[in-house]
Amino acid sequence: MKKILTLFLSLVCTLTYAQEQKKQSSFKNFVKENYVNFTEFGGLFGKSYHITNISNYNLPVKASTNFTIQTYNGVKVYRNLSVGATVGVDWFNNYQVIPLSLGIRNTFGNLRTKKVKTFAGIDAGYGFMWLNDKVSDNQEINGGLALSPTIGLLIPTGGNANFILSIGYKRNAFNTKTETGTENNPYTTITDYNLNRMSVRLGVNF
Amino acid sequence: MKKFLSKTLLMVALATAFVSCKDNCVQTVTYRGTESVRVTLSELRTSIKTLPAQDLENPGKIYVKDNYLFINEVKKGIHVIDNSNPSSPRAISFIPILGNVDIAVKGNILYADSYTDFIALDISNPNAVKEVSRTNLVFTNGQVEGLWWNYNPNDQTINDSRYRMYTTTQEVACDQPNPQSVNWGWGFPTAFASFDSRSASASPSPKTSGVGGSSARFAIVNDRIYAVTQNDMKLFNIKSPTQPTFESSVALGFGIETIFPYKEKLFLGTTTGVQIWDNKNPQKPTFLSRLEHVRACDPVVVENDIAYVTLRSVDNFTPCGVAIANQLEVIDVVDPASPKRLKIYPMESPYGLGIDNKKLFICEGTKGLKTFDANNVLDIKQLQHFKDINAFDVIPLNNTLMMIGKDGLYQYDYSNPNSLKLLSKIAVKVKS
Repeated sequence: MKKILTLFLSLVCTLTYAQEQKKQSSFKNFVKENYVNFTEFGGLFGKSYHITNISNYNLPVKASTNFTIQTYNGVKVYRNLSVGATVGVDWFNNYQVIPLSLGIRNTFGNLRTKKVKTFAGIDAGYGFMWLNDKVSDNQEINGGLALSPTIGLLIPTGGNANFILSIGYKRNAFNTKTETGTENNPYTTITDYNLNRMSVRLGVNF
Repeated sequence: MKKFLSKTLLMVALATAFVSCKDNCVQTVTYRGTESVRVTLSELRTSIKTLPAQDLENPGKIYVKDNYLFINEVKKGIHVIDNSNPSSPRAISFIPILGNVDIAVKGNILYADSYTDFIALDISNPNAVKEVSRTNLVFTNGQVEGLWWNYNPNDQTINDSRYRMYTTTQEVACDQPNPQSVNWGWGFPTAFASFDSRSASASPSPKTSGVGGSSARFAIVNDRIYAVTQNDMKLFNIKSPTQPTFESSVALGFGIETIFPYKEKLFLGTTTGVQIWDNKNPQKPTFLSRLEHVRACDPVVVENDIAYVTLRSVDNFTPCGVAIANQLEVIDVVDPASPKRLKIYPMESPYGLGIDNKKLFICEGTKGLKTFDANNVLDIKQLQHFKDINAFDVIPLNNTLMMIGKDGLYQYDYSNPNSLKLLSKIAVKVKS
């Protein structure tokens, strides 16, 4: 009887304690259950014609590799689908872009398994040019569309986190406008940059 | 394992697809260049008729005669404005004259240039203007708004050019070291665009003739019209107003821009200085003196033996190529044989100027209009600055300041020189 009572009491205590705990940390739990983070770094690979002047249009294609970092922070809205925002930096050869995007991520398969899972996501937003210094007063640098669909693998670390290995497509658009010439003889040069790259990224997800 | 493999394969496939990603950078250059225009003599000589009033598009010089105001539409013709009430000027008609830049009026006869020809029009009825005389092929070349035209006698055509905006687009390297101005070798636009500024002030011509610009190329003195070209002065006798006769041509040098008659003298503004010619014998002006200055565009006006000259640095693509001189020079011409420079005042980009009874008005192009108190020529004080307008030409006359700019004709009441009152504005039609 004593044994049973002790057991009963301890059960009640545990339950009450557990309930208290649950109440106190419901927000924490919510975050734990629903917050999604993808933080990645990697490279943007592409190529462009190396055009030096109009008469030598057929110069060889030059490969370009650039560094990129980004972090996605989102909230699960439906099953494994999350919605959030992505901010990052892309270092191109002459310009640096800060893409600020809205994005979604969906992980396929059961999150709790310790198997390798796949995910897909897309970010679309605007690339800001805040990191660039103007060459002169008569130059302006304007940002533009930033688009980045990716797919990748989530490789469990053993804990709650996953390593990310992803590839995707990245498009950054921006333009520069330079006014040379004079009041009576305006001379405006607008250069539209459309950088199409393949992205390969590594990172962590939790 | 099989699933993992297929996923990996998919990624490899995608990677292969993405490898073909290529940057694409396109450069669009917009600049003002020129294109050639050919006018045949037969086209030139059939153009005189009277059209209903039209909008101002590219106004040039202005000229006042009694209640009428004439505004040149550069190389196109003349707008006739009834200005009996400066508060509400009324456009009456438009006289299309190909190649017209300068205007002078005496009595009912308007004298104008039309590329090579010098024509006289009867304007007693501004709604039905009649051509009364035409002197053929007096002028052989000229420069308007920085563009030269010349007459080719072999095929009897006038070769002119006009400004046009060009746009070129081409793919460029995305890794250009510097997006600064790059000359791609498709022909750089014309370097010079010195506007052939025509400022104005009350010219002391007889009452029967009108009032033109201090820097107009036409000046009427008694029975003669003096028309300066780039390098000489053509004299026309207008004793019989409807039958002007070409008398003679006086060689002047080069870079002649403006003529301003004062007392028995002719003041010529040139790109290298001011020339003073004695006009005691109106049939044969003689050279008196010259005051050199740096190369610049310079209209000149004279009042009370003081000449006011504005110098503007020529608008050039190479800033170091031409001396930077934006200033007002005050010159003592009591002894016209030896003019003395009294003082230099810095300006921004002066075009035309006008003076009336020590009230000095200077057009600063896109920088607007400035008014000055010139009671003490050694201490000229700025009174007002109208910044938001474009101004290149003024005529101050009977307390009404007529000012023409690239955005239209403005009229001010300057009876109180400390506070000009805007009376009216005829705006230039904005091209859509």
